[in-house]
Amino acid sequence: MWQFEFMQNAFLAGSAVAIVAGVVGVFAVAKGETFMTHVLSEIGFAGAAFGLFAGWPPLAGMLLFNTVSSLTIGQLEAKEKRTDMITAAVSAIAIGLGVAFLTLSGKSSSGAMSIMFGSVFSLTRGDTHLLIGLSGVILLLCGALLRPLKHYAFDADTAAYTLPHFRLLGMAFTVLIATVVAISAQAVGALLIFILVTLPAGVALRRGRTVRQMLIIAVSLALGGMWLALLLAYWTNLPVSVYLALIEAAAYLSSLRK
Amino acid sequence: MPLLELQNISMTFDKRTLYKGVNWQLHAGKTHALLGENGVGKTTLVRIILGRLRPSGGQVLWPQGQPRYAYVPQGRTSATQFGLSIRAFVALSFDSGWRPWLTAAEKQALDEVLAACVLSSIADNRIAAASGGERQRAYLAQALLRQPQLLILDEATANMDPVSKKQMMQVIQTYQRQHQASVLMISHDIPLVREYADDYLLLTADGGTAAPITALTNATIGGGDHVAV
Repeated sequence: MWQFEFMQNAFLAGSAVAIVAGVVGVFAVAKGETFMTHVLSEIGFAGAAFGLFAGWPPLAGMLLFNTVSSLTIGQLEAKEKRTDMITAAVSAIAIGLGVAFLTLSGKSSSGAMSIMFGSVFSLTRGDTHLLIGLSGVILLLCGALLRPLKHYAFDADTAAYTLPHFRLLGMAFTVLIATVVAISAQAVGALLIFILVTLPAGVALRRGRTVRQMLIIAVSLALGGMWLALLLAYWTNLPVSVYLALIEAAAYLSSLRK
Repeated sequence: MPLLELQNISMTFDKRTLYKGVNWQLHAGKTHALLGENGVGKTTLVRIILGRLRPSGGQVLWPQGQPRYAYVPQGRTSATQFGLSIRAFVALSFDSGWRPWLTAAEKQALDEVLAACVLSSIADNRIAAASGGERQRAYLAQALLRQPQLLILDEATANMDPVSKKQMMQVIQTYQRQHQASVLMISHDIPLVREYADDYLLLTADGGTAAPITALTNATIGGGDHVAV
């Protein structure tokens, strides 16, 4: 199967996406941004639908919508205590817009399927290079910001007083999540982002005793799950998301046992 | 020369005046207690001191320049939700620089702080599984790792048994003696304050009273429900 270019692309892009989703997922879940991650995937759906409507690549639409809305949510949240309600309201607008753009683009069913459930086997070599490049930039950023990011995500109560650029870091972090959600959606689809971003991180946060251990656990689970799901999908001709969802959910549920 | 001087501080939220005319001085090497009923604005005053809130009136002055500070806030929930060990939690204080790993000097400082806070033997245990007293000492260790010249404790000994409380205060006293640090403790625990503080500010809407600790009696504080004796 390795002679097929679509399989090579799927493994390369899937691996890159799994690594960044595992890394950023640990910080996102630690900071309590699980709901935000889910909503950003819905906003990503609207962005991708807009891309189809405007004749752009879906990834470009997703990156645009996710970045703008994550900053907007961040600004609104700074002024309002019921942050989950703001996120819910923005999500409602996003889904409404997504449906409208899909209908207007005239590619309703096939476009929607690909956006919502991913299409990792249809990635081109160019798409793959782009995803690897974006993943590399995100990893470099996480590496450079690792120390402040750890404090910010794991103990915001004191980080708010001691990190010199706390709000700026918060905004950068939200944009980071938005970007990871957008690129992960290329592999697993907008509806199933939490498979890669939040479930491996959920296991890692329970099992790891240091942030490094948590990162290793989350990346291993995301990467291992992705490889296994790609192989099973290739052999059985079912979508990758099906297997990835089952593998990651099983890993999380079994981690709940003491 | 004082470390910190509050001059005529007032704070108003949505037309509700919390307090006005707050005057107080903090000195290096001394322990200062901030007292007052629930809701009077003690934590708000700390936020003003640390520059997180702008007061509606008055000035916060640092005559010797703003010192390195550490704040142990109350009501921490984040720490207990994850599997982090006590050592990893305390090390979150190393939050500047680009190096992803800890240097040898940082590891040594971490070990010293854990030992000072009587946490060495349980440092690899998960903080979520630690007792209330151990967890509070971990919060303290995280603050002390910053080597603060001003340590601010917001009800750090609340809900602790007498033995754990004493152990915690001894750690603070030892650090204070070694570093000539100033300690500002918000507390409802009057016996504890009497034993450890040098002076106090009883915060009230009209600015309150600042006095040496010897002036603190049950009559001074009016025997209100904030006095947890």
